[in-house]
Amino acid sequence: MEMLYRIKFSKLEDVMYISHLQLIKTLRRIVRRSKLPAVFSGGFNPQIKLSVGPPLAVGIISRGEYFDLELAEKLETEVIINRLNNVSPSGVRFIQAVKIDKSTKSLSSILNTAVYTINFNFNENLNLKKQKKMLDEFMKEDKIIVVRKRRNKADREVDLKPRIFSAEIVEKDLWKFAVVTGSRGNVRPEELNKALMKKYSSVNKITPLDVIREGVFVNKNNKFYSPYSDSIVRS
Amino acid sequence: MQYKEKINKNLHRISNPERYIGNEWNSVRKEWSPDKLKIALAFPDVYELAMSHLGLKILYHLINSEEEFIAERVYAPWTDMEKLMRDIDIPLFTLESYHEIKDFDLIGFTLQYEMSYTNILNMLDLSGISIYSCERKEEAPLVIAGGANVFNPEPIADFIDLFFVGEAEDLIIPFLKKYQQLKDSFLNKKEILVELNKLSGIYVPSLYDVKYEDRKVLSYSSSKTDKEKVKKQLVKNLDQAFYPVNFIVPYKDTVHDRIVLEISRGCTRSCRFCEAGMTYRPVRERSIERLVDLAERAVDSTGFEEISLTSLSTVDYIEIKKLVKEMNRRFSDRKISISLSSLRVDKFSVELAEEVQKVRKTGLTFAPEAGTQRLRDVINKNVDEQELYSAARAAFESGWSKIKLYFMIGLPIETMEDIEGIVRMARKVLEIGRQIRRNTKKKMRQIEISVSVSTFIPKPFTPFQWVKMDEVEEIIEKQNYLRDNLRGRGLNFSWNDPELSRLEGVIARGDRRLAPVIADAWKKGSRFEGWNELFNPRLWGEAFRENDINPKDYLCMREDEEVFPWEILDIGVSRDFLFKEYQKSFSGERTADCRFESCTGCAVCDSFSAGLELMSGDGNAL
Repeated sequence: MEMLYRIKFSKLEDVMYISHLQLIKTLRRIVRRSKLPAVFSGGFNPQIKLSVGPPLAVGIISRGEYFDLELAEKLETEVIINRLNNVSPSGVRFIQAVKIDKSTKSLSSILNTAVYTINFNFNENLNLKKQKKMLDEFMKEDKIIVVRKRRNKADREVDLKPRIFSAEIVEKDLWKFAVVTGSRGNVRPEELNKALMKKYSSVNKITPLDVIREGVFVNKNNKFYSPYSDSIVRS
Repeated sequence: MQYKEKINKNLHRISNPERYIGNEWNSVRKEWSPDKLKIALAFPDVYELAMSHLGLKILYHLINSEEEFIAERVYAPWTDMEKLMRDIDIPLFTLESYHEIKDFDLIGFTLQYEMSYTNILNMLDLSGISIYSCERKEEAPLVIAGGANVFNPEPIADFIDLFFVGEAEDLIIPFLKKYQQLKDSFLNKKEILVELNKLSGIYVPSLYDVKYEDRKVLSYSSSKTDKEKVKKQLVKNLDQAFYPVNFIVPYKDTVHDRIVLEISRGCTRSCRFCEAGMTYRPVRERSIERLVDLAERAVDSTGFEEISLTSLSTVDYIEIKKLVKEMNRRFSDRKISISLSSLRVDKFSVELAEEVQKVRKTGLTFAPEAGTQRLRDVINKNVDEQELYSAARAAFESGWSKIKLYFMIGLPIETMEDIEGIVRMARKVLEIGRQIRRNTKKKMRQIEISVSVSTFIPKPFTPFQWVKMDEVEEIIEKQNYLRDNLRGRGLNFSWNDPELSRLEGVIARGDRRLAPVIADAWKKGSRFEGWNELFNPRLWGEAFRENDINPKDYLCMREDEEVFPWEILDIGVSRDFLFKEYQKSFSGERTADCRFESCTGCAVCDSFSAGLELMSGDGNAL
């Protein structure tokens, strides 16, 4: 009987520079080294059965990514986490595993929200109050239009407004956004930056190093759940 | 971690940042302390190629296995990274500790390809080290070089303090210990080099004066050493030699993204164009027991999903069938596939390929090298046309639909008939494939034949070291013919830039007078010539003209008796043997393989009091 485990991990340090495809390959090799009883796909090119959530832009670290892993036997979730961490480069840390039903919806079909914190660097000293006012005004706009460059296609205007679920200020200069991600669109942190720069001359351009993906979530009636929380895996 | 922060802050602006982060699984990070001898292992090309190179893997793990040494990796930055480094003053750094190269005691380059020599200069310059040995400061790291291309060190002799000639496993550790000892005894660099030159396999070019007369070498002399020739080094017992298992697992796809198991070294097929076939003699094999043990440990340590059995001619491994069976038996349950680095053109190879492809199926490659029997006899390539067809038939029947064929043009005594032969063979293979596809009940993809045609370059220490290289116009004419006649569905033709091949030919048989040309080409901006998009023949043309050097002097036919620049080295194979092989080529007289027939008299075994080391069925050397 095959078991399905939903595993949370972080992508830190230099590992932020590896692409989604390379991350999948890295995870597969970690699973091989861990000697966990992985299950393989069939066909000419058998692969460890493992599926990863929505991709993360290269250059950004994340504290909460997920993948589903099939195993041929039942194991204690702590054992799984320990065995993975023992054979993993320091930039990939496994945080928690939850055994889920095999019929649970896939990560890519349910994860629709990414939460980013962005460390802004303003070209004037703005106190917390002023920053709060700026964010409020920004979020009150009817439309937040940015131009999106597309590979081999004409540029397109995108309205970010309906794609930002919430925004708040964590502390001075540190802003947090929950935005859409996954199959129904994607808002990139640099697009938030671009829109803010258009509105406020005090906002400077950020680099990927100013951004942290705090995690990816399931948005249910504007409440954010982890993909293995009870209300998600039971429904 | 010297430059780590500065580099990291900017890496998001660079293409392929994974090339520069290091920190991969199994990379060795040792604590830096002043008492340790530090060596930077350098590959003068990008990460993906560097990380596929077996020699550096061996050296990296071998040197790091010694407590008192630290070996770290450094590769050539791509052009955008170079620009960034120069703009914000980041010197060349290693992937383990991010120390700059100046902090190391030695930097060792591996020489794999003539067209990466400008990258060596660029890497030295990015390290803040003078490119010419004679201008280097006393405290600069010792610049050493070795590897497959060391067998003509002369074109870069002015840039390198010391060459390591031959296979390094047995000698690198004693060499480093000796160097440490000499350094501790407060000798200056010149004195140290004189001492090191006394070791076997070590060549310090600055100790030798070369006189030239016109095109040719007149003499080599030295007042500082009585060593007349530098003898290459070889590992006498390959089975017991060091071999790594804890290979680094890269984050980025590399050319050979898998476990590489070297099953044997050397090849005695005596193809007359092949340098490695002469310089890595005699043939030595590893035992099946040893290979299986290495494979098991490497699989545990890395998590790779493929094991490649490599050597110059994998299928010639005496017990290859038994080895492949054993590997499959052990690893197929774990979905680890076995691959062979090269196939012979015969049915046996196809059967073997079928055996190894039980887990994964990739393409098949055959190398007939020339288009007619006459020319294959000239180059001593033991391939029969009918054998190719029956091998291809067997491959198609077992379900392969893609076959790649390797040929060369510009071989000695070549005529247009030989070029037509390439077309005929490729079309015939295509036809065989189509016929089988039409008549089979199995599902089969469209048949695709890729014909890869490289231009022959006469190489040092081969029977063809005397021959003239084709003119650009001749190469173009032959390539045009092939392009016109290898059109159509199911056929793919690929070729090399003729100017690039000619340049490679100049440096391959070059001498010390090329140093300023290489230096000037680099100063003009030449980098990564092996990458077509970056090769600029105009820069090289200028560099030749300004230094008053005619490249044709290096590409012409050589006189029977003339002394070659590379003959400061002794590879153990006698010049007489090479010359006899050269003469036999005129009449297409064949030479057999000493593994299967009698000794051919190449003299390498006597020269090293070594011999063939072949593994019989019970795993003992024959």
